[in-house]
Amino acid sequence: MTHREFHFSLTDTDSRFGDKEKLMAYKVISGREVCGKKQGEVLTLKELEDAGANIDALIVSGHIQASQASQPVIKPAQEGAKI
Amino acid sequence: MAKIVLTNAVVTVNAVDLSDAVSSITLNSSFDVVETTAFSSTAARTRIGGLADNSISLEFHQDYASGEVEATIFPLLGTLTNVTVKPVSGSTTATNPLYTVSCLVSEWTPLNGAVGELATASVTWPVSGAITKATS
Repeated sequence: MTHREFHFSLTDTDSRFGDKEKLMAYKVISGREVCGKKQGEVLTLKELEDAGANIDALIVSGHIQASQASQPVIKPAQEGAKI
Repeated sequence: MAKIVLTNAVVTVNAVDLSDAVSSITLNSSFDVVETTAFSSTAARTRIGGLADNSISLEFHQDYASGEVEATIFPLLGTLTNVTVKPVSGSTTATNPLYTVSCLVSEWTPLNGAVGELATASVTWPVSGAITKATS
């Protein structure tokens, strides 16, 4: 019987704690200041958490959206890459 | 210490600055009065403070646009949310303290007003826990 070993390692963009860990930044999209940040400025997850903000409600109400810069980049696997 | 007329107070709900849509703020704090009167020569009732009961009342100018008053408050109904108030816009100091409370968004009036009147929404939300006062 053949025994194969597989090794996995987490990269910077991998998450063990769900989507919120990945989305570490949010852009203010409404005309109102959120956590003191104006439209177009970026808020970190920590800033929102420190303010005790309900992030889901802020997204639903059109105040913030996940910042594109914080989205994980998934690169296609290269042929012949070692596992 | 100068007397103050409120003109530029700051109100945030769920970290969103809604100051220019609020026309009235009342942050209330009261304590239960617990009587401790016993037989004594003073012949007067004695009391100590019991549990605090805090609440905040706000009057909003209604606005249904995205990112405005209704859109901000409606998703928070039935949840605890942070509300901050400050007498004057600008830095938080000993003479311009910032009060932070965790409120239960227990009521909301999506539509209120008579013909020819401004659409408004008046709420009184109970506070869960203490009022936090920051001076810097």
